[in-house]
Amino acid sequence: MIGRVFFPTPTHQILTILAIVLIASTSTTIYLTHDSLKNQEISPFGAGTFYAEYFYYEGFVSQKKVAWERALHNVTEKFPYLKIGNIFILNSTQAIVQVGDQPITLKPTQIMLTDTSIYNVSSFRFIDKKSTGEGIILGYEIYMALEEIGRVDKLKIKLINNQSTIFTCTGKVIGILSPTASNSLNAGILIVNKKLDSIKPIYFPKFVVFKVPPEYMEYMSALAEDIYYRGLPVVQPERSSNPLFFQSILNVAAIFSDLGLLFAITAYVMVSKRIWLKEMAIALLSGAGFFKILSWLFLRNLITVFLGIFVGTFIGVSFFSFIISRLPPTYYFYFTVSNNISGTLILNLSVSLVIIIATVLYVWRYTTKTTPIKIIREVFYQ
Amino acid sequence: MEIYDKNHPYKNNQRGVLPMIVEHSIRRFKFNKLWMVLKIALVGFALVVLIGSATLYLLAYQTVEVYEGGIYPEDSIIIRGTNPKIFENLTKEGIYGMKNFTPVEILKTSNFSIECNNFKISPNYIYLLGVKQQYFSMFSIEFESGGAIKKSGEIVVGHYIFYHMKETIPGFGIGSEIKIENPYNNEVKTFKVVGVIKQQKPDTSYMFSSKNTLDTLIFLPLSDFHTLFKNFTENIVIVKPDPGKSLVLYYQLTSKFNYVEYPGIVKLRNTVALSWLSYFLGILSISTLLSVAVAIFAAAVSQIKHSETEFGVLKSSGVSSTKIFIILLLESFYLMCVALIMAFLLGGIFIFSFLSLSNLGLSLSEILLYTIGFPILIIFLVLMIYPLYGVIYYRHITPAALLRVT
Repeated sequence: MIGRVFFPTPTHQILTILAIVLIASTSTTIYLTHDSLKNQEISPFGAGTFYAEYFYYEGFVSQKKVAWERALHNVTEKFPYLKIGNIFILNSTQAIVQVGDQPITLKPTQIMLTDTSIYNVSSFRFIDKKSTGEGIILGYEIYMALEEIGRVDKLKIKLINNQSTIFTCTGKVIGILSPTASNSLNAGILIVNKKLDSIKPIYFPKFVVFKVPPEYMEYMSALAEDIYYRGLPVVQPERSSNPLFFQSILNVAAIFSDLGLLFAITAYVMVSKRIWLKEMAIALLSGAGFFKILSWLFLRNLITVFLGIFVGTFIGVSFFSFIISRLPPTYYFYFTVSNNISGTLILNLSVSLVIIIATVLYVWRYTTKTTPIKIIREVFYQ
Repeated sequence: MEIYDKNHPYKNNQRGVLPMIVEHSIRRFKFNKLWMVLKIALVGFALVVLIGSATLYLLAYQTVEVYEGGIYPEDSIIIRGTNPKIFENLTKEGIYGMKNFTPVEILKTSNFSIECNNFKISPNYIYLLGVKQQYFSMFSIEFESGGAIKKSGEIVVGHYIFYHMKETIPGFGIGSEIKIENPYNNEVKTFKVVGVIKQQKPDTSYMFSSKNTLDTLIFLPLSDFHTLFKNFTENIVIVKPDPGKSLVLYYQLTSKFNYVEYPGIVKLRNTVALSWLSYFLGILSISTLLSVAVAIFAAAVSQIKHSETEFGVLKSSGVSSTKIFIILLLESFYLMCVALIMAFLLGGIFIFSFLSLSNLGLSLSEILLYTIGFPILIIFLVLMIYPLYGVIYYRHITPAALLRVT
């Protein structure tokens, strides 16, 4: 009985569910992608990070250094869940990078020094395999530039301050970063070295990078502000304005996919007319009342559409999480994990609920204008 | 009393089979209005997504394409606020990947006037550039007619400027004299047109609202430019990189100068973003197409099932499976016609509201082929699901079996 009422034409219903699943998953994927891009930040060290920048004179005990260390200690005590990494940019006047036998001069701020803790802090994405060891990491654009000289697998780097060499390093290139929204990272050369303490004491600006765990992402801005008031000059990531054009294209695509969902469900409802008329005739012959038939119809549509929406949204979320969000970022497209999955589901369900209610109202209007015998005649003697 | 309708098409033996099939398919089309509306809706949705995606891709492509050197030669690096002496001093040790450089001066203001044969023209869309003779050979600038500046008092004009002036000023051509005036110090100088630069972009470049190329330039000798505009000029050095060394040269120059521009880097960024976008729009189009194909198949399954009695009657009257296929094919054909009209309407709306045809460098037929041609082909294939499923379904079912089912 239940099978007859709720699944009168299983083939048709399965195909319809499949269509709704496909459209709902497309819609969910686009919606999440769009939402993820909307939250994009231009943090040089990847999504979910911000940093504090401070200048102090290493090797001398100064008030500034003491204050900085005290503030940093306070922050680590207050927010133990924040991951912290250090990046140094030596205060040099010239940076010489040698590819093969060819030396070239770059901007000294392009050279950044760090230790392996940076991997825990930053959200770096690499165009090749993930790197975790010591060596040299290149930004996408600087890699493209150096490749114009020759094969980039080993680099010799020298930092000069007023004609005296303050740092030298020869290292293997262990990774190339995917292009990001941060131009400083795209042009940067990151030297990952354990022996960072052995660098000669010299003026250098130090960056402390803070990584906010995903569960605290919503409060990132508040956290950064709190840390700022505790004495660390925090630089908050800016919202990117570069991809506005591409985002507007995704906006249009998102509208298309919502339209698609609307069409698919309406399609189901329209195709169902002949089916539910036949079922209604059988029910009427069995002595069922109009109200009962309407409630069956509502339930049947609810089961079909909601099943499609739930499965489709689940597939869409999985597709976004496992494929789209893991795509290497490309300048304007850097994915943050969207936490608006429930919002997507609610949106899809609301759209379908409205259509289902509209269908039942339509059928109800139809039944008020006709008699049971007319329905039976329409189905069996047309 | 007449039992049979004499006018019924099936009773008229004079008529061929094909008109009867066409009429039957039209009747079916009218009778199954709801199915048709549903299929049209699905096809409409697919067309919106497919044509929309293609248009959006072209829009993005157009945005990427306009990022060129602008009024400077393509693949050149521009250093602002630096005169050649400073540049030479800072680069005397040599820079890897630099082929050559040339000084250029541009106007800080657009307040100047041009007069020829007593006609004055508006300078709003014209850019003046003071260059050395070597500029033309350095960037291999080709000429449509005439040649490069050789001495003081000669000028070279861009393609668009030349033809615009030719249309506006009677008797204008190579060898004509034009006066350029600086209103701030009432300095006037007369120049002779010695060359016209070859058009940089196809015919579409006549619409200059959003793009400035060499077509919109008037080149003056650097010395004359300096004398004429004195304190109203900005020094620029344009560097030509060795082939394939532009990016590394750009990064080296940024370590020495503060205002370095390399339009190629913007183009690189946008090209990478464009390939990502095409991947994403591809996913959107394929999943939409898949959804619509499944939905149309679902509709076909139901519609074919509900037509069993009708086709049972036809089969028992001796109508072959081929003719049933033609009836169903005709139904799809009507839908294809509707789809074609919809595609042109949607394509027209999308193309003219999103794209600026002048900037794409593609002809309208090429744009139509890309935005509408491929979606229509795909939709035609999707619509073939219905007749193919129908003929497969009815082929092996006997008329009796079809008639038994209600």
